Amino acid sequence: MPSIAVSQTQGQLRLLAVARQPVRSASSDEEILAGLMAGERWAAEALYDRVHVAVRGSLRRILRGQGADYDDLMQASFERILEVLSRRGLESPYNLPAWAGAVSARVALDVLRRRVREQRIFEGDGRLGSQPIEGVDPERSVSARSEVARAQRLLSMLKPAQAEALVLHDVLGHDLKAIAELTGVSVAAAQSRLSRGRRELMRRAGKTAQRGRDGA
Amino acid sequence: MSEPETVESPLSVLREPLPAESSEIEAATRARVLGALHAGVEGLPLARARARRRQRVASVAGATALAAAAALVIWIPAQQGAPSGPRVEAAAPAAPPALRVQQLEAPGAEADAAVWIDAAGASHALQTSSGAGLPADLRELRSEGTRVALRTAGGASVDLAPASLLALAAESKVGAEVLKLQRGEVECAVPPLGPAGRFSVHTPDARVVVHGTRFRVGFDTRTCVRVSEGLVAVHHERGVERLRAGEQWGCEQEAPERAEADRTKRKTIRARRAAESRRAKQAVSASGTLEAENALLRDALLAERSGETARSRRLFEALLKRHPDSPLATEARAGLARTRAVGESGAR
Repeated sequence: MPSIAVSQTQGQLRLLAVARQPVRSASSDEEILAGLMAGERWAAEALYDRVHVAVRGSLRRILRGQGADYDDLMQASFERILEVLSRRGLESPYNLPAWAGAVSARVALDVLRRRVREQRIFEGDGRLGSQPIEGVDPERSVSARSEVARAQRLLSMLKPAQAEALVLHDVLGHDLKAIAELTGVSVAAAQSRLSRGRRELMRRAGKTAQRGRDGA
Repeated sequence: MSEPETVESPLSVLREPLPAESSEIEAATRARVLGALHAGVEGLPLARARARRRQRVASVAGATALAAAAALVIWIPAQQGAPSGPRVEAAAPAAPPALRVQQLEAPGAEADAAVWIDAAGASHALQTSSGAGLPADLRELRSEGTRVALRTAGGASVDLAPASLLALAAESKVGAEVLKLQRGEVECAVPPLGPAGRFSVHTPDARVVVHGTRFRVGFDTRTCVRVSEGLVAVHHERGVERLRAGEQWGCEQEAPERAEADRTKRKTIRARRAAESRRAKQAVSASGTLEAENALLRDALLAERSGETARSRRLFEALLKRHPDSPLATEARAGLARTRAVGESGAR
């Protein structure tokens, strides 16, 4: 059976031999990456099968079905994944699903920020806060819509790095060490982003609640 | 007895479980995404090679620029003694990338007028009125007794009033051009820019961002913006003003007390920001147990999500007992209330 051999030299992944082979669900992350770097078609399929659950999960958790065309966003996420790989590759040890999930979380946060820029959240053009929320009891749907829209609006107002740390920790359940690896910063920096982000989130949440009470 | 009031994290709604998706939808998405992914992966080796080449070129260019700057720093002092050499005012530290100027003219330059330019870490008088011999990395322009007209690589025409000081910089973003007006007045005519294009004028207290327009920015003690054509956004400490043709911002003569009030307000804001920053730093360094607190909260949330209500409750309680003043206490209390509610409904 043809196989891929890789060797690690001073942190660089070196491809020793590449041979075309069928998609194998048992391919390791290292093998998939080596296949991608060599432009192998099977590696595209293996990458998709390895990470699509994490990618879709991140998008669905953050956007919660509100006007999201997940097919387009899935495609945008995979394009972003390839773009990062073409620019700088990944550093060992690999955790492709977690990394891809973090990349797609960034894509979803970009979408939220773009919508706020276009003032869609505030002017209620039907993109956020007015469509059914997936995974929510229909009886709770109305209040859930506004809760989701509020959470999304607050996330979009935070600094991107803080929003990313909060989503990775509080929504996707990664620990600090994983967040540090996924975002390429030290654990201390990840912790700082998380605690500042949380403080800022609660501050802004308090502000909007106060504004709501004043308006009422 | 009523439940104590809890403040739940606004993000908790995003943690609610997601329903399973139909296999048909998944299959359709797979087929669609894979179509594009195959093409992307096949082009990946080429894209990698291109990216590596760009990195190499950037490193070589950086090294060359450094060497050129070092050579100039050595050469200029050597020339200082020479009678006909350029007049050197001061050597500057390493600067950000320079904005590219294609053309520069000082049509009204008289014998007593001068255009001072700063390039490659040194400044000297521009001896010609036509801009001949203009350095590629022009960084600063000082017009004394004459107007200066220049055209940027992006196509913007800039007219600098006499007695003005202007720094030129290119942002890391491709296509972005920034003029930093320290003093005086500048009039700009900007052609329509592409989607990536951006042109802005920064003053000490405002940022004027445009997309294809004609406008004038002045700075003496405060910024004054007048728009002749198009639309301009002025970002300042109180927010953003969008100006249309014929409108102006900050140009009215202000009563001295109002100007003083503004200055006081700016000082107060700066002091408050500095205090907030100090407090934030202290909070981070004081919370040495934050990682442990985070771990407890994470485990509690994971247990809650996977339906282990009793374990989740124990973990929330442990977090509150061990770290009652934790910044995560609010969220822990909310979680505890949730798990208790689940436990009570289960008992009923």
